[in-house]
Amino acid sequence: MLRQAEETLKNVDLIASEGKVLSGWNTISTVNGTTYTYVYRDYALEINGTTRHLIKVSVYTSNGTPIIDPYIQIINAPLVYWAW
Amino acid sequence: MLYGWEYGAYTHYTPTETSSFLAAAHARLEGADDFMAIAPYISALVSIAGYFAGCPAVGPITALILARIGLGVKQIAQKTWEAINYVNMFNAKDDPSFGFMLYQNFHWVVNPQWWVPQSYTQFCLIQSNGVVYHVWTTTGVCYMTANAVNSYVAFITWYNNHMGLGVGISSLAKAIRRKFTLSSMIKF
Repeated sequence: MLRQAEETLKNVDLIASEGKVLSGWNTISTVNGTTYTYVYRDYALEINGTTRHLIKVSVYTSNGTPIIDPYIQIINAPLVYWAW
Repeated sequence: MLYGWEYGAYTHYTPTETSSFLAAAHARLEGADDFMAIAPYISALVSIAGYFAGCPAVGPITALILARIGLGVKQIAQKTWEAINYVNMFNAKDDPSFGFMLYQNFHWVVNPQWWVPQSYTQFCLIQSNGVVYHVWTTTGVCYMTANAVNSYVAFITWYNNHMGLGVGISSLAKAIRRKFTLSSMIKF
């Protein structure tokens, strides 16, 4: 798992700096009477023949104050064993 | 042989956002008496799901996972805050520009093996020097109920369909089959 975490770390920085924004979209959500706007940007970069995605989510209150905008990513890998 | 899939879910807060994250975590974890108050601060999958409208819920299932590690809710909240606090202090000293990172490993065992009979998840904080800090236990392994696994798979499938994981499950399975066939041919 450490190797996977290290790979993720390396790739996230790379995708954020070198990746292209493929698409962007907004949603609005109201929680406890406060309306929040979510702005999404999908970054993509080809690494070793595979296109990796990174989503940047920016959350704003109704008056435009930014709350938080983390980078998020989910990656996958097969679990295999070799039968001899 | 392909016997399952491993997923790594990652949320990275910048140094500026880390202050908001820590303030919210402290407020929610102190005196927390339900699993849902804890989940967004330790589970990258729950935190990610919280940012997308219309996705299958991940949160309530966390209770089923946490209940299996033998700790009460208050103990878990306390240990979670201690872990967050420790890693934040380390990061602040080691590399103030790093921010704060949640990392969750989901080991989905489709065909159980003797060395891994059940799916499990691990809740981790990644330190600025790359070290994986397991929360609660030294290995961080939390075995999952079938309902918990189903919930995670439903969310990840939704995420893959809407955002993309980079590698489609079917294309990876084909690649594995090709490799296995090739090695069998060489051997025999």
